[in-house]
Amino acid sequence: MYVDYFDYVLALILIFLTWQMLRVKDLLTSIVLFIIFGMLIALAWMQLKAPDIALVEAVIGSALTGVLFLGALGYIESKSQVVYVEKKNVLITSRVYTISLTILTAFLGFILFLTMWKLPEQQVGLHHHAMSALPESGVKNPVTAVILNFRGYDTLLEIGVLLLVVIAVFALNATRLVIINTSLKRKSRILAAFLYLLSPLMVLVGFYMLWAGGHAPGGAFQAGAMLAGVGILMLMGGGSLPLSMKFRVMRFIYAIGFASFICVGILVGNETRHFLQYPPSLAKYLIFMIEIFATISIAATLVTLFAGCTGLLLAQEDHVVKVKGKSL
Amino acid sequence: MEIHQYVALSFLFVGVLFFIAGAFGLLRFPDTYSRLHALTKADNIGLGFIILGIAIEMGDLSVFIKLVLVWVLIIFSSATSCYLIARAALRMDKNEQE
Repeated sequence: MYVDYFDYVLALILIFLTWQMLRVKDLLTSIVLFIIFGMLIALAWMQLKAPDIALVEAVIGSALTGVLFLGALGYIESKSQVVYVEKKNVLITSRVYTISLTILTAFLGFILFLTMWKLPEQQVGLHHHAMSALPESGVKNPVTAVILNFRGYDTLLEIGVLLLVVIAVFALNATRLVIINTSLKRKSRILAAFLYLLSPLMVLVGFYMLWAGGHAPGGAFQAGAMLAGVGILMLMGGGSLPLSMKFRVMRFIYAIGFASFICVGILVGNETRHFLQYPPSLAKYLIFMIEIFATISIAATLVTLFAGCTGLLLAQEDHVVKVKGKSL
Repeated sequence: MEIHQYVALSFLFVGVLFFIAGAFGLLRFPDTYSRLHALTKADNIGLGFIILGIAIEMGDLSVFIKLVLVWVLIIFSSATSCYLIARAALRMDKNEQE
């Protein structure tokens, strides 16, 4: 019973946080509120007994997206020499617009509330079907089975979206830059020592989460986010990473997740099986192979996103552009 | 509830008190540097107490070792980020003074 009260309070806090996030004029404050909001959503996922999704939300949805926002804000401020960035007022301020939008939103909220009120007491979802088909899927974790086997097509398209994101980041930034070598102003010995001591552990935990995805909360996205964390810390501490489309190796790394998924999907199909229908005897190995390549791709994509959002990919006066050979 | 659950509950309570103290310090201290003091020190000690409480409740040695490792890693990372924030704040103050 007390747990119910906690859920109600959590829901009210989430609504309050959202209101404040949109109301506050200072962008830094709303970004911090966004990070807190993401962490509380992860807590809500845990209340719904979904640890995998809570992991992904806390790492990617809250922490990584918050870092991207903060990096972009810092880049804007450094470029325009203002101390803090204020949100401009909404373009449309007419009273009719405000009132009609309020009525529409309240109506939608009311309908959603009615739907939730009328939900049956017992779950009539696909839980039973998923658990009964679990032995054939090749993994012991039902979430991984759903993501990579039963609904593999969705994950395939998600990884394709990540590849599109990398292309978009490079399209919006200068592509002349070959290796990022940040200036001495950014280098920090404490961060370098921290990375020196802890990045082996972080890489190990990342690959362990990849391996554990088969039987416990984990998987490709969580492992990729962990490895991306190492890359982002390296960039923040003044390291240099070869983030560019000019290297064959980097093009390979960006594309291998999507490509391996498609190849596996095509190669398993024959007269009796469809695209992406793994044979049950090989399912475990196929899923693991797809997850390994997806992890590498996801990590590289997230680090490139960070570099793009923070302005590190643009050739600026305090970055040294070094041109290495034609290809690595 | 048995005696060890009472002990665990009291440790959790003390940990939460330290977290509240840290949050209070964050709101009330005048300066970035003193706020960093309140955040890193009070929050880490609060986390240590919470982990002690969880470990007493769980009673398993391997879980306890993992939790202590989590605590040590959080201390590392919060100390590093505290240093970086203080360095950035110092740089901003120096730029404002010039």
